[in-house]
Amino acid sequence: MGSLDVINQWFLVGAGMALVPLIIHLVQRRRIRQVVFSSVRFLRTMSQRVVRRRRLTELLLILLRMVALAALALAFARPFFRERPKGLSGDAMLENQAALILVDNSYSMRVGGRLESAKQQALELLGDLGQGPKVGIASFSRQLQPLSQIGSDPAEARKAIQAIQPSWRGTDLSLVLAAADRYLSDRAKDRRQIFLISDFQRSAWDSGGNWRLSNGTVLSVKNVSEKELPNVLIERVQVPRLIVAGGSPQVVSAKIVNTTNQLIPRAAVAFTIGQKVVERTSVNLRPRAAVPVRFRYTFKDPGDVTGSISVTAKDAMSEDNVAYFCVHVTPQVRVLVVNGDPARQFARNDGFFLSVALAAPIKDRSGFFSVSEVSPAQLEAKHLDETDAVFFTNVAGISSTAHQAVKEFLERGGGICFVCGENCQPDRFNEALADLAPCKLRRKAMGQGEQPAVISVVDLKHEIFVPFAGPHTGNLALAEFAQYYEVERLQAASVLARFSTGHPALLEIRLGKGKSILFPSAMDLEWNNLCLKSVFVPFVHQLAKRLWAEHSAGQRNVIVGDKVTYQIVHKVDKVELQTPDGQKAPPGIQTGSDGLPTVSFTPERPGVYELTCGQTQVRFAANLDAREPDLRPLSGDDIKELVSSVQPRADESVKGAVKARPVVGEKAARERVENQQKLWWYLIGLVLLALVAEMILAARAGTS
Amino acid sequence: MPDQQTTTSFKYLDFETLSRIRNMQLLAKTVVEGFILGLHRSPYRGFSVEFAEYRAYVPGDEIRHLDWKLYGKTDRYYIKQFEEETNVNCHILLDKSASMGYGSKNLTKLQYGCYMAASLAYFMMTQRDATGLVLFDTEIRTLLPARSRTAHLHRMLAELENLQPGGSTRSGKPFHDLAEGVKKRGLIVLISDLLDEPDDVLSGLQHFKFLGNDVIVFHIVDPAELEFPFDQITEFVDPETDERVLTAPQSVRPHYLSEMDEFYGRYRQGCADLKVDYTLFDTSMPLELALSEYLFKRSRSY
Repeated sequence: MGSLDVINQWFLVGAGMALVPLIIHLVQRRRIRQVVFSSVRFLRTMSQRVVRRRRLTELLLILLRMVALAALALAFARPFFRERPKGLSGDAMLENQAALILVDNSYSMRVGGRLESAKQQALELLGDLGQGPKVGIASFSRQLQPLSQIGSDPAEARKAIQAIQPSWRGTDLSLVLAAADRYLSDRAKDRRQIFLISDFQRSAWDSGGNWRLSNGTVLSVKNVSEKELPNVLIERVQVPRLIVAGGSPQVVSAKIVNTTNQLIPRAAVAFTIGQKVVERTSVNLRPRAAVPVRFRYTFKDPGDVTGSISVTAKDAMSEDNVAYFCVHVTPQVRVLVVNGDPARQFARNDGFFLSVALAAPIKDRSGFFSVSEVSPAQLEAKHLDETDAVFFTNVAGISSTAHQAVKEFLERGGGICFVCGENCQPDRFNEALADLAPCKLRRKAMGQGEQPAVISVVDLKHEIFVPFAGPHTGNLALAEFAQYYEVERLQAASVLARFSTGHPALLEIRLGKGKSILFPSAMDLEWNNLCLKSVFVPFVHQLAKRLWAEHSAGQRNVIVGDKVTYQIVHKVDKVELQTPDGQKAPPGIQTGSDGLPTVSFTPERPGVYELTCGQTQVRFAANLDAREPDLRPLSGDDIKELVSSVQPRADESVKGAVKARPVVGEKAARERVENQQKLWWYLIGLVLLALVAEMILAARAGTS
Repeated sequence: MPDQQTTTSFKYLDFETLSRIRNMQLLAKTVVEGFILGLHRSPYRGFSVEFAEYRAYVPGDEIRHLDWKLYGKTDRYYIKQFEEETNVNCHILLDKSASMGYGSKNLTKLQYGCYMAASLAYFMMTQRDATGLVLFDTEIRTLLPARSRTAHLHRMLAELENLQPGGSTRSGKPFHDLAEGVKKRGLIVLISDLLDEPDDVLSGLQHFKFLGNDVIVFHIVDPAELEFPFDQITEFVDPETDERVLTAPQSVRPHYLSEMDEFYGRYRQGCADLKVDYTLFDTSMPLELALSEYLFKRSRSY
């Protein structure tokens, strides 16, 4: 038998009325009157029996009256058994319930008091749930941030809600729901429910394919966005990946989005480098349209250069009217050519053609690339430390030490490219270098019949081939390939170009943080005439740029909330991080196996972060998630669709260990259980029975 | 029917009035004279042996009452009338036990008995009967022999005036003692609630009868004893034994009334068997009824 509980506890006080008959009886008993009667001889015999019976009757009457009053009070208190007693039907016994309240504290929640509204709703929800379910609190943006463990004290949960602060992060409901589902996974036997309180931006919902919540988990949503708010924002600034100091002007572009329904004429746009506005312009922002803006700027000096593009507009949120950027201006791209066949006859020397092409001067300045050349036998780790990109031309094998160094170079983010010539015997190559390449070599191949092969398929969207996409920008198909190697492509490798025979002509694979490219033919005149074509130099440049080791500059444009890591090449004594608001704090530092520290930090607001590592200063530009400032909300139907799309299917639920049922608040759960059990009916019946019995007994006893 | 005549012509005195009369003699006088006033043409007058007056003879008068000397002088027939002088000894036996002290209203059974005894004594005195008073409980507590003098009446009334209830009721012994002590047969008037063993009481009465006495029993009861009108659980205290019985009156009433009826029936039947006049009086009944009862008995027997 489960423990008894009541809905209206105050009515239990009324059960004290049950004592009234007893008190009256006791008071009356004290007042038994004494009468001097002439003789008690005629009372003696009957009295004892009568009094005994009378007393028993009176006790019964008192008991019945007490039972009636107590049962009446108890009926009004609406009792119920917390656990299902034997023989009582119904399935609404109080079960273990786990509820996770998710409060959106992303950037969009800063507008219009949305976060305060969300917190208020969370507090109300917490109050409604009461002591019934075990409740956990978490805030979220693109990640779930548990604030209070499931089952923690309600006061603690309340504090956690009140302590939620708005963040600058973006929102990804799909990721968050998946994380919340995992968070609840250890409560598989409980009734589980996720309460999602958010402004439900349209941009925050990515259905995520066929993903659904676990069986038994119910999703409830509360929308705090009252209406769509007009906003003007700058989507992410686009900057060139590689900028060489003193080169031609580079384009820095951005997209200004107007989500309002009104035209904003001549909105002022400013392009800032450092703290200085270097260019101003104005644009007409059409309603619900995006307008691109481009600024050309020549980065003369090497180093990290930060800037921003801002637009002036009266809108809901001003923080997203500016976007920051950071570019690493490198003095030159350092290319190492490991030449496996340095023949004197330059027609058979791949390294010669490659070096000449990379070192060619551009206009009135020296080239982007500084090229150095070593033989495979000479290759050492120190060469790789001072290199941004490595070309292996006609190399069949390298020493194990060099192999390990190349591997580490790739792990750090370096790029290598294999150019395969006569020396690259497939067996030897596959044994010595295949693990560093995107494929294994199979055998030499020729064109079809008497016709040499040409490059017939090119991925013109790939960074390497983008310059050749337009008209009159060079044609790789002009080169004829008398010989090349057929390859066995690895599953992870992508084919960027193919010969007319269908065999891959250029393959790429990511290895570690770096990338490896294989060109299965030579760059001299032995196997093809590519080096004689006009596309050869730009093609090689594109290859070198592609291989440019990003680790030397790293990713300098980050999103708020994303973890940023930076590996320090040289040992330093002091590492310090300066945030956009000017505060300085030590970042997290982890020392790798090589003894060099890796610095990490997570930008929590947009702006420029400056990392000082000894004498070196590295800058990062942190921006809002590009989708976050888009305040357009999901419609009510969209939200319903969202819920139904992640809700476990009904048939799955039936098969699941726990049927999907929403968590109910303590009061609601108690009332539901009480409604199913309806114990008060029995109590009212008991009251009536007691009263009828009392009336009969009282009538028979001659008292009332 | 003489008793019917008297009964219907009585102007009853209510006990409220009587209770205000402290003096027992005055009370008895009031009762008796009121009673006598109701007796028009009393057939009971003229039985005294002392000369009262003459009256003309009318046919039907007994010839033995003709005054022949006066006939010799006047040649007319005159009937000689006498004030009757009794030769009946009356003993009034009044139960003074504690149970007689019970009264559900203002009047206790003992008070009622005293009034009755005083009235009887006074009335008897007017009839020239010698009257004695016996007060008893378990024994004879007061014995005033039968006398016909007025001073004796005063003494009896004084005894009644100062009488307080007390003691248990054991009628057998005092009855037998009295029966042995009464030398001349006469009238025994018993005023009691008879809350004793009926066999003992009847045995005593039988003793009186055996000795040639006429016996009248005035059984005094309180109306509450007849009706038992209690409704709440009550603890009843016996005044004689101090025994306490807690009971629910409504529950025991039928049984009680049945017991009482049986109890009264035993006396009624016992008295009838002994040819004893038995009258049940509750204290709300007028005292004149007792006088009437006496007068009826007196006229019938003497």
